[in-house]
Amino acid sequence: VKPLGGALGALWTPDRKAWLAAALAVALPAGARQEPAETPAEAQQAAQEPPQGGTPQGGPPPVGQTQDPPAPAEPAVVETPPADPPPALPELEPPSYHGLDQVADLVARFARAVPQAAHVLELAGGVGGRPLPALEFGRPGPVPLAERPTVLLVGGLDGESLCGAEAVLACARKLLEAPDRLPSDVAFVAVPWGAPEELARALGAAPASNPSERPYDEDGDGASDEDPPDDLDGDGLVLCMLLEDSAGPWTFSRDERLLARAGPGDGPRFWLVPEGRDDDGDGRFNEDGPGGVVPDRNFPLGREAAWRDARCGSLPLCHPAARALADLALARRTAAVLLLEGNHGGLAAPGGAPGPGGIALPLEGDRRLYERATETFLALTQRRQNGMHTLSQARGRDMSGAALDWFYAGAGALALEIAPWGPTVEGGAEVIARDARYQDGGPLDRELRARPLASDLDRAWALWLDNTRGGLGFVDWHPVEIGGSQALVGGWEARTIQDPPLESLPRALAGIPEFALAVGSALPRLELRILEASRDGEVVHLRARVRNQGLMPTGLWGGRGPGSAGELSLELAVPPGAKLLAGEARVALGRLDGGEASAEIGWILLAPEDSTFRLRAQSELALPVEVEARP
Amino acid sequence: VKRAALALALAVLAGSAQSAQQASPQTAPPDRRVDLDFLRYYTAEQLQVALQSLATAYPELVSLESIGTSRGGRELWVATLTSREGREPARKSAMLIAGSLSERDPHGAEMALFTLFELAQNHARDPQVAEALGACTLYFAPSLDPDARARLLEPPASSPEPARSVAIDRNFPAGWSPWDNGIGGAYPLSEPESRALSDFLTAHQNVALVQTYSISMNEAKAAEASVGPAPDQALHDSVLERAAAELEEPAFLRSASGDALRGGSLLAHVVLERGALGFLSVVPGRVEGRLPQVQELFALARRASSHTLLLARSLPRLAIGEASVTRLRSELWQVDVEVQNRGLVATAGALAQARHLTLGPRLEISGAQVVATALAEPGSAELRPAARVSGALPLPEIPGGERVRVRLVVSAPAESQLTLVVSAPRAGAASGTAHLR
Repeated sequence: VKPLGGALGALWTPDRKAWLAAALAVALPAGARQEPAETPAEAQQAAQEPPQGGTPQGGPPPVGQTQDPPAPAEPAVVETPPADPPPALPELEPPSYHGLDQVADLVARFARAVPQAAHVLELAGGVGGRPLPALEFGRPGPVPLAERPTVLLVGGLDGESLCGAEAVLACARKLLEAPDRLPSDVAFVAVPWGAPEELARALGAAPASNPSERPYDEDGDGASDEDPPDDLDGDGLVLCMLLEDSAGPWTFSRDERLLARAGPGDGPRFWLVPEGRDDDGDGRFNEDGPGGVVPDRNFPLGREAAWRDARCGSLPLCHPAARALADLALARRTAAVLLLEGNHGGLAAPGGAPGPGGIALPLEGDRRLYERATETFLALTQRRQNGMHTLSQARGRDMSGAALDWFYAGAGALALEIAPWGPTVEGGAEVIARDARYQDGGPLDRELRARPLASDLDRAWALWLDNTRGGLGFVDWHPVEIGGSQALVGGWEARTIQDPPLESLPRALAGIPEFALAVGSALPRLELRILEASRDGEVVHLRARVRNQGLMPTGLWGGRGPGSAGELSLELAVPPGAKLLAGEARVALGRLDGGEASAEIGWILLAPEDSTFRLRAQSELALPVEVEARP
Repeated sequence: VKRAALALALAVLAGSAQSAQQASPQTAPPDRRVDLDFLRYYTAEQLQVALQSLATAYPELVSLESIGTSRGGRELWVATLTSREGREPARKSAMLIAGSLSERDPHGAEMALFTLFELAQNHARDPQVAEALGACTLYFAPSLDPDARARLLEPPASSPEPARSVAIDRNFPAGWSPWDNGIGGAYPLSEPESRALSDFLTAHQNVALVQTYSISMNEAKAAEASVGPAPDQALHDSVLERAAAELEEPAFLRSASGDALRGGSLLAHVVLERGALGFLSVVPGRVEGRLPQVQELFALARRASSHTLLLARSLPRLAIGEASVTRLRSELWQVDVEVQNRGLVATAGALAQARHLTLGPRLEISGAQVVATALAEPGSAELRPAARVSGALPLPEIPGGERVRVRLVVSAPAESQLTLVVSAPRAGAASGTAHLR
């Protein structure tokens, strides 16, 4: 038996294969399997062979069932299908960005199509008093979905990433194609539109000038939403605006489309603001548009700097959608949370801001798990990323109040941000072949060469635009009249960098459902074996051991803080008339890594004949398991 | 409730009458319309009856509302104390007196109740009380964790609910941690009590200061738990300086710093996130979770009530000085006026200003067409042009005892009356007039 938290290195190599294999072997139809480059035949073999000591099918029995040692668990009970065949799963092709009504309709149709495995959840936090559409699903079995370890999939919680919403829909649809192949005793909850009002604006369904249901005073002047952006040049787009000012922080980069931080001697200098008038006459432009608080930034951790960013809100969880999701996560055994949002194109671990006490997230004890998750994600999506990135690294800025950090450190789940879209997603693992038109090596004149370079991220987007879209998708800076002076208006059009063009959407979503499944398949699963149950007259000897048959640990360090012991416990219910002579009725086992077994736990009791002994193991993230012995 | 009310009404103890007179040295008798006994602790039911009695007996001063219910279903009462003459309570600078929200102040309910009682019965004879209640609003939330008090005071049969692991005073957002063995709750404001109080503060933007109580301040722990210099330390210090000059036992009034600003506490929330001021009335050297002896209650309450009065008198208070009018043309006038802060502390602290946690003072002008406006910053004589925003002239924050000079150029026929109204959420409002002649 390994000491807690030790010997991790020995586990990770086989684990990685198992994560991948689980995703491929369990969910995908045989003909549709896609072999990842780094997992050859032994990956499939690993999937077919349970971990050491594992039960061949279905894992440990649920609470309420009994298990005689060392017999395997009963197979899962599959419900009888209804008499009338259900409707087919709705198609998500051709690719499109669905509005809130369409999402609600799709969720309902998913549930009708696979009634034995899925049903609609209604969460608070929607718009207009309507619920937030959500779908709960899992492999049919005796354990109710609400009691199972849960993988929570949330799309577009940042209020911008429509492709995140599409990714959640794609996950639900893909996994529901074969519900009997989903991991047993795991539930998935899909919330495609995590930020309904904000996403409606991003989609264009709610014009920027429309009043918000949740007005917010971003500029602290006592009025809310009084200075929204405007379409100054009448081109139908609300883009960005440059106001020339010698104190401005931005200047043009070598690529005249892109801005760079101005250094000494650089000019002209600009302030960068959203396009529009100064409606409230305070000298600032468009700083208080509709709404303001974003659910993704409205969570309780890392709020020391939250006052700098109105998106965090004045109080944590003041946004109803954020509160509803937090309550949902706490009401269930939420083991993993995948936030599908952002445009960095990779996977981000917690660490939007320093955690409690200034401690960096994720905690050291969980970093290997996050590294393994990152590798699995990259293999399944055929993307590139230089190791594990924290949220602030992936986003390139402070992310105070990030949902990801709270789902990890507050709810104790494996929390991951997955950005379906990013500048290198369409290039896949290949290096982009050509430079953007104004990059070094391009037709630079002397004046351009003297300018600073834009950020790596901006240049990457420029490369993508030029190499795959022929430069279409960026409105060049052009002058507009505003208040008797001139400003420059321009910037990225919709469906370029924030969300992919529709034709690029399938590539952005590729591999994400498989990764969601891999996470579900990796959840910890407790096996409780009675190694000895013997009787010598009235003296009873019991010995038992708990094993984690999953790939993830039974609890994350982040869930209880640094130095925490974990909450895996083994309890013996002493029957009436019996007396415990040796051993503890409740034994704390700390935390078991994937595949790890606990020490043997023994008891001696004085008990009358026909006594039944019930043992129960439970932890933070795994389904509790209970066995009976009648020595 | 009726039985408790009857018992309360009959419980006119000699001690209470004698003590209350000791508390107010003025020669005129107090305006006592209710007798309350401070030689015992109040159950939730008795506290409710006492608060209702005060609201009924002093309708011109006291009103009572429930801001929610505890997890155990007990009402969370807030009594509002202010003179009902003049401006409405929400338009006056305000302080919140928060009691019994942790194991550190199980006696807080009695301290708050006594203070409410004391100020109400002395409003007519004590000029300081009268001035404070005329200019300020005092919100009393005497028992913010009534379930915990019930477990402490009432026999187990009458409070069957088990103790909960979450501490209300660790459930506020500033510095909240999920890693405190669950004592801070699953997330900030997860508890109905903390949420109700936070909602109350959001709805009452006039609260500039919060007073709490504590029976124990472990000095070593306080130093360890320090979160760095408290914001607006100078403002806190100015109040403590006044306390040192005016109070008999000033050491028992402390500003929120060190351990008082521990993560998840109400004071941390108020001071660090709302940019208001925070103070504690302390009884050092006691054990957390233990009630002071009933014999001590009255003396403790007297002291706490003197703290409250001093804090209320320190709140910012806006006033408009007399206007000076100069005729420039036949219908063009120059009006010079001073806007003052007659309180001890600034209209808003540095943190509140930097983070836009409250609005600054604004001067609204009516009765004439405003042609131009200029003002001189506090401490400066130099008038500079100043722009109006949304029809009002934004003024800078005004330190305690300071003034801002404002010059208006207005157009109006002779004999017109110019009306000026200055207001700031945490500093109240004041109005003045100028006759254009």
